[in-house]
Amino acid sequence: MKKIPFKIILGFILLALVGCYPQENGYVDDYDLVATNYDKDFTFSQHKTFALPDSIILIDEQTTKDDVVFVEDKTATLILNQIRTNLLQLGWTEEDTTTADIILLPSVFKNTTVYYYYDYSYWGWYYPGYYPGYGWGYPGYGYPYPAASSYQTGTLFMQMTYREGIEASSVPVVWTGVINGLLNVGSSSSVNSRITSTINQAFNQSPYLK
Amino acid sequence: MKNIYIILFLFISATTQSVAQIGENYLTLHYSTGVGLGSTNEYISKMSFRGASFEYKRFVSSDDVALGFDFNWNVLYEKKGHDTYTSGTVSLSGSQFRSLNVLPFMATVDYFLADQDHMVRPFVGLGLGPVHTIENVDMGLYRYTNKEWHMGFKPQVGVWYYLNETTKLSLSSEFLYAFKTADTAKRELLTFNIGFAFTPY
Repeated sequence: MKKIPFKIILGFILLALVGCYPQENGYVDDYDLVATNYDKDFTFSQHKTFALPDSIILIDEQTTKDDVVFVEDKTATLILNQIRTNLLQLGWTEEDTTTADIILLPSVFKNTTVYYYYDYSYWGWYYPGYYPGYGWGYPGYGYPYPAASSYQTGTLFMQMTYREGIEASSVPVVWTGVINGLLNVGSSSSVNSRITSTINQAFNQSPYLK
Repeated sequence: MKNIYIILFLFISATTQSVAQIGENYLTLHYSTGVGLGSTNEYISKMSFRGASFEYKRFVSSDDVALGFDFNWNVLYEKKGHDTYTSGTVSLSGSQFRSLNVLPFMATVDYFLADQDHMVRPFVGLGLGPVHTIENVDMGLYRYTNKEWHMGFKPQVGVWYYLNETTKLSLSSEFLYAFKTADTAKRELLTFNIGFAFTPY
């Protein structure tokens, strides 16, 4: 059998070093996403009174129709106040739900994603017999490395509904703001700061609300 | 990823077997850098230092014309700062992480301006063939991926410097043009390559 020339092996190693998907660990706010959409046929400048609820509904994996859960008061107050501040700065007026043109309905969706590490160092593969007592390794069997972890994401939906357009079977949504990001990362002040800045961003990128 | 290595390994092994029997043939392995031009530069403007190329050349007419094929792999990557992207009534804000893999598979012809008695052998060449591109845009916690096959060509200039009977230092630069498809913009890439050309045995 012919030997593979050393140069070929070098080249092969070179290709292996190239890698195909570069990765960069970003800051947590790099994963924040703000999306907005609106009804282009709706004239916002003619309907600039709004009403907000007192609490925000929370939807997660455990939520059932008969067991409604709300976002904790502290966070809900932060979100509602930030929405209110932005609308007032845009020249809107807050009114009662019975008279306001627009009812803004926020809701929060929380989701947990479990993922598995794919890193050889976590799997502890050793050839049997290489060292006394070492056999084929399995995650969680004698090795103190985590085999799985999870991250929690939160999504804040802000939906503007047009009160006069409400019919029995449908509620017209004329503006939607969706904010998505990582939840259980960083201090509460950091999370609050991200909530504030992303809500501001949702309104900043919606100049037609003026 | 593992499958690509296995295919490459088999490909290299098979090629070197036949090369050993023919004689005036060269394999070239390059480390490759690259930068996007035109709309590719608008997509990712940062220069890439991740790349490699594998080439095979066979001299067919005296020793100044070589036919062959090559396979390149360049990876462009850039983190875009926080920005707002609008399409119709939808606006999206966030940071983007963009990457572009460019993989041309080309039949090539090269013309050497000096024969093999010279220490320095400049050459010009042209490649023609399919180009595979893989684009990833990560935004927020989501990834958009687009894989596409283009047709393309690449003129190149380069030089071989004599090191010994079987090995030459190889420097080259290529301009890759991949035509646009129904779903993907044209891709243009300028690469700078350094490596070795050698007869395998």
